[in-house]
Amino acid sequence: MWVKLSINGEKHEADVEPRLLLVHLIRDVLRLTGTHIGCDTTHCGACTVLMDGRAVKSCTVFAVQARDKQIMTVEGLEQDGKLHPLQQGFMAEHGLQCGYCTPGMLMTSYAFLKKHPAPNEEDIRRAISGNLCRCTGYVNIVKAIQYAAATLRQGGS
Amino acid sequence: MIAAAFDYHAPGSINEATALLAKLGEEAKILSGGQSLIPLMKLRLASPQHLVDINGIPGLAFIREADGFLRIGALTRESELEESDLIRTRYPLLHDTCKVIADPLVRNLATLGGNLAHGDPANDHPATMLALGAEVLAAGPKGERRIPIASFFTGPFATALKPDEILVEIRVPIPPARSGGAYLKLERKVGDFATAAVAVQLTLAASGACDQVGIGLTSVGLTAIKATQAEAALTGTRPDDAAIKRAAQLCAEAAQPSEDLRGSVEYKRDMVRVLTARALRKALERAGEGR
Amino acid sequence: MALRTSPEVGGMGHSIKRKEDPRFIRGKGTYVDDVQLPGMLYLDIARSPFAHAKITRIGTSKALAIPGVLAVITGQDLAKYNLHWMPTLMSDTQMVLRWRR
Repeated sequence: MWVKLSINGEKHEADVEPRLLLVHLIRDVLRLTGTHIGCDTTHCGACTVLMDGRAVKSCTVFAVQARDKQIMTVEGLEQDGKLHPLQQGFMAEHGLQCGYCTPGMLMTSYAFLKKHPAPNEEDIRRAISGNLCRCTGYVNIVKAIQYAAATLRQGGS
Repeated sequence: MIAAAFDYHAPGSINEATALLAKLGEEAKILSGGQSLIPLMKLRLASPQHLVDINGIPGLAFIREADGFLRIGALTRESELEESDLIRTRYPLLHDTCKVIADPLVRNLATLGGNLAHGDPANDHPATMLALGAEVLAAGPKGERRIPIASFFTGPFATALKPDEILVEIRVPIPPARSGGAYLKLERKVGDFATAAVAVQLTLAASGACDQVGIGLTSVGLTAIKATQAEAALTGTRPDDAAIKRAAQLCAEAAQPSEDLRGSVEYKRDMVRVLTARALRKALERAGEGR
Repeated sequence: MALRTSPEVGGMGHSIKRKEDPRFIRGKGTYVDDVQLPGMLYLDIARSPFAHAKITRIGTSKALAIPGVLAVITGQDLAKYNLHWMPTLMSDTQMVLRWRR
């Protein structure tokens, strides 16, 4: 089945089996390996991408469901060589160790901050509750997101 | 894990969808949010030969009050329900429930209709809808029919929907003034299914007695359970400590839990008892606040 | 602890930024699953559903019949290459794949 979609602003098309998962389209067909597969059981959120602006677990969506939609992956965060404040925040606040959950955390918090620019810690923890991290204990991830929220509120980019 | 191969269909209208389902029969499954179905397919616990994706059908996602009912389209996403001011302020039981379904990412795709139609006794909305006395609208090739929620859940993963029917709308009678509700879910971690959960909806009459009591239990039976004995015991009664204790005990007795990784039968029954008492108190507090 | 060197010189006692973060936050890491080489194969391990049992037979024909499956390797196949026992880091020797129990 032909699937046409837009990923990080670029148009792509592919002939896929209906059972091909969106995460496999992104990783194997389109070779964007920043989106990760952590559990394959819809728990960990390492596969999180944005579909028409909504954060979703791409291991639990068929690629055919994404036709004619706009997908954003971690590779789309950097614009014109400039890192997004979230990416700056994760580096500044040591928000990653092995880095495997990080793309998922970045995409979830990107969508979250668009809707909630001034979250408190509890809001942030709830927002990332679908993204599991085995390394950090989440404390620095929260700090990274707070860093980004503050930067964005000050008009930074 | 890779799902078994299937043919994919994406109807653009309810009529097209029900005609497809009628033609394809038992080998077709509806794809709504997919957050229950796709994980099952990846584990090959479900291998339908056909998927009928209803996400392209317009007019199935809405939240509004009309004709004495809160009317919710079956394709309404859990996150939309969670963010709705109408639901948060006037239907606290429903708001409580949405917040504890899976996690925020799953809620962006999961739908209310899917949560009910999937028929998993561990899903949260069935108990809530039982407590709210809701009804569902099913559309089939011959037209629409209303199914009262008390007859909707027929067994584990089984509902009163026929193979050629689609759930299109859920209707909740608008509660009178001085109504309140609460959903309390015991889970091992965020995003888990309930070890046990209790949904309570009630109205306080002018006399201070309980009126229109609805209690639903999650994950402690082959389907969500309507705790009719506890409901009857509370109706027309002043909800003092003794009445709450009695209702909690009746709910524990109505539960039919199975032993599993989440706990023993005794433990789950006792949790139902504790959660019922707490949910009742919270619902009463909200009813007294006039919400 | 008083720092013995200036921030420009760095060294012990100074905070430093990690070197791997810039590629990880861009999604440009190369984790094992990201590796794609021409002609690469994928290996999966079939594990015993029992803690202790006697193996009467290992049936490989169904797996081999699936298109794309190149080989099903059992302990007996390894024995042909004298690879069925291997030394471990604990200085003992273990069977790589069981075929009796």
